[in-house]
Amino acid sequence: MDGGDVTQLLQEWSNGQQQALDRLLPQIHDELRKLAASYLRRERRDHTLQPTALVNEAFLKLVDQRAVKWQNRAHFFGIAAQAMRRILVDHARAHASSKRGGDMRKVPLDEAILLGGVGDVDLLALDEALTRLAALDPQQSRIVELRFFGGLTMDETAEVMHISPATIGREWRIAKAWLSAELGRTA
Amino acid sequence: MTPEQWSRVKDVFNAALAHEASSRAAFVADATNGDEQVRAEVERLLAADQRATDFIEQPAATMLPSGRVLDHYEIGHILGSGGMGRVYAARDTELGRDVALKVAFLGSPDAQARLRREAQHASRLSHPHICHIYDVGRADGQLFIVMERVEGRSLADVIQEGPLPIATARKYGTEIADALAHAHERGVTHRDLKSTNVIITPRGAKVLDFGLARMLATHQIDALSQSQRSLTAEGMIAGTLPYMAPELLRGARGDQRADIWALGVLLYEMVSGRRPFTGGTGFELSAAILHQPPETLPPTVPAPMAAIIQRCVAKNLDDRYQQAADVHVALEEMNASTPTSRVRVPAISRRAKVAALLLLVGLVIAAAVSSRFGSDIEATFSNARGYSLLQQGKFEQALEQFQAVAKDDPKEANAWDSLGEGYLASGMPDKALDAYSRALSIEPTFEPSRLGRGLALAALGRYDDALATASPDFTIRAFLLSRAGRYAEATKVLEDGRRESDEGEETANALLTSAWLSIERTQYARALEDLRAAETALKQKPHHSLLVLTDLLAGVAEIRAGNVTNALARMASQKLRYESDDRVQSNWVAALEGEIALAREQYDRAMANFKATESRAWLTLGSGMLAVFVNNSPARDGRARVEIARGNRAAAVDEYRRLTTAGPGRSAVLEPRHILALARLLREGGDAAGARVEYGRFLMLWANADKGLPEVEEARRAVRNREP
Repeated sequence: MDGGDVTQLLQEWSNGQQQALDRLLPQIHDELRKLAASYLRRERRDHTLQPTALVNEAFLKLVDQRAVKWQNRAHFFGIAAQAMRRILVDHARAHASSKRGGDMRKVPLDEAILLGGVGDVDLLALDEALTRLAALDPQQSRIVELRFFGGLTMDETAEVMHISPATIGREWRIAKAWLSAELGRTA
Repeated sequence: MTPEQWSRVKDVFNAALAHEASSRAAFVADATNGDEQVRAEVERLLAADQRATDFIEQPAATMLPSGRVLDHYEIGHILGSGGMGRVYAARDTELGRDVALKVAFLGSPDAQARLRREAQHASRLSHPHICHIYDVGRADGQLFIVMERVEGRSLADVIQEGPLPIATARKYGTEIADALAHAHERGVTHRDLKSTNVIITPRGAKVLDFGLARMLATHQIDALSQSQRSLTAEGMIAGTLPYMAPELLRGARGDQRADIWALGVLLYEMVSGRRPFTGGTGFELSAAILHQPPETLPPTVPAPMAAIIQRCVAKNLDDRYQQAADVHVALEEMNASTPTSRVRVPAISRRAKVAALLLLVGLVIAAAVSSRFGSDIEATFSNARGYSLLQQGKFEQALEQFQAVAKDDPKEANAWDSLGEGYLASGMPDKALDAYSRALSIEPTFEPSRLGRGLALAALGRYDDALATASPDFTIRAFLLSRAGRYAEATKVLEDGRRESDEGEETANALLTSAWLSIERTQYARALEDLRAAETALKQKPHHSLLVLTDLLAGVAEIRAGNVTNALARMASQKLRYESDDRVQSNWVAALEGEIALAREQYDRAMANFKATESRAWLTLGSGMLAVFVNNSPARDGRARVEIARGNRAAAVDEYRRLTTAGPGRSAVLEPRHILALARLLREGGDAAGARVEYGRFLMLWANADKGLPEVEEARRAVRNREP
């Protein structure tokens, strides 16, 4: 894939052309999948899979760095978090249909790695709840996407969204409470 | 719920958090003004908030899954993630205790060794307010630190909810000061004391990561030099900067007084809920730390506490407390009930002139640092683009990219290292050698450059020189030795290395290398024995690529020993393991299929498979022997052997010549055994002169080979022309 495409699309998107996003997302999605797979196969020197590392690497690969502004970089992380969400949710869905006895930990190691940090969270239910949250409060839904799926810290999220870290902290706390209540979670 | 109602819910929720749990219901009822829907929603969210503390706090994707075992530690859920790695809850199955296990992000063996030493140093500290380090280990290629499991919340989280009561701040401050005093007495400084490194437990404060912080800087340099700069690394700097003493910002190494400064910042944060120095950017923050007085404390802070803080964050080292023990005493003696008073904003320092001068110097340094930072990032981006082009097979463009980066910043070792890798992948080992040499002249210890240089030298047939570059990976060393015919040494290196390896990947790598050397020397039973051992080693920690490789080598050993049926079973097993579209693995699957087809005289099929195995360019991506095997698969000369089997000697000669010469995008390895095969073919074809040339080249490559090897004898005889 030509790095120029993604750079161009990012610029179009940040200039307000919404249809650019529709073309960006699949490209970033594919790249992240490939990168995630190669990390899992340990082709890398760095054996630690981190969403931020993946997203960063995808950015480096896809975007022509000479033409990019920080603004676009922030946009990119925003979309990448969305793409990560899709990958992880697809992954969870595939498991839900194939798993035996409902035990996620029975899946082969390589596949289990990807969802290791999720713990007891039902990713599919969370995804649905997050979609409902987006209807109620799009900003909170984006914060959750960036933090939970994109792996960004509070400060990084603040930077990407151009909101103060304090606001991010407050919104994050309510979003967490709301999602947790929706999922009927007790822990 | 309408948007207006939701907005109201959020406001009331936030306001309610400031109230004690007992009075919240009343507050919410009052604040919602009879809107029952809003009230119910706020109540629901407040209840959920109580339970949701760690809910979705960890990112969805992560590395170590629960239930995995590292050494004798069983990995549980993730506890947190910091600058140097992720922390997991774990169980020490030998001692039967719960521990926390930090898996380090560190890359190079050098950096790992340093971290290991630091951690061992810090593990001597034993103090009720220091998180104890129990063990440092390495397994599965990952360094981990085993620590006391501390249950609680980080001080950062606690402060986020607002200022602490003075008595509480004083208690935690006293404990942290005591912990610092204990460590300082034993020569250990913290260097990265900050609110996220202090955990508040029911038994008080616990300071984490003592003595490990020095590694942080090393890791950052590593991260940069290995083109793996991530947002995490940037976040790390952001998290550490607000606690950095002015002398550290000026580039001094710093001593225990830098920890005292950080303690002052912590105390300030605890009593006020704010930080003493702030700035919108790292630059502004640094400037504030260097030159501005701390922001005024709230009037509720008692004067003695304010005075202690003031003295901790004195910019001048002589004005600061000299010992953590002094801070400890001051805090203990402080009467928490002292009436409140405003902290005086210090008048303009009597050293105003000096300060003005320092400001100038500081700005110059800060500017230099930030521009350096910027160029690093840009170079990293361009480099990454180069790698991307390389992987797409766009060699020329990739090289242009790498060359541009190296030209922009010829003092940057990483740029030359990448250029070297580009040349290596593009089939130009001589140019790769130059680039790697350049990289090493700037940074002589950078491991990937040394490996790259070694591989470039090997590709040029300079195996002895390659060994002098000395990769610390003993399997690669053994590989290089064996290429020069030094099998006895290679075997010894493998045996010694194995004794110090972790069970699992490292052991398996050693056994696979050993099996390969046995196959070359027609010792098939011994090779199969090693491969069975490799499988056992991989049982605990399955590694897909290594298992597929094990099958390949075992299959080849079986075929050469004449057991095609066993080889077929191996192929079946290999195919089962091969499920993905991984190119490395598909190469190895095709390689074994080719060998079997050749043994069964299915030449077209063999040829097609061997062609498929050669499609990969030489990339040093990947760890250790995996990278080596990609380019040195036993099936590498498969096409030449098919031609021999078909009786096309001339075509086989061409194949061997092609294998041993470089071309754009074509890997070239001056493999002594291929030269030998070429010599034999020429001799059999009656070209005695041509054969002598190749035998001569072979002897040069094996000049230091073991005594009495039949291959060497054969070549010597041919060169001396005693035998046609």
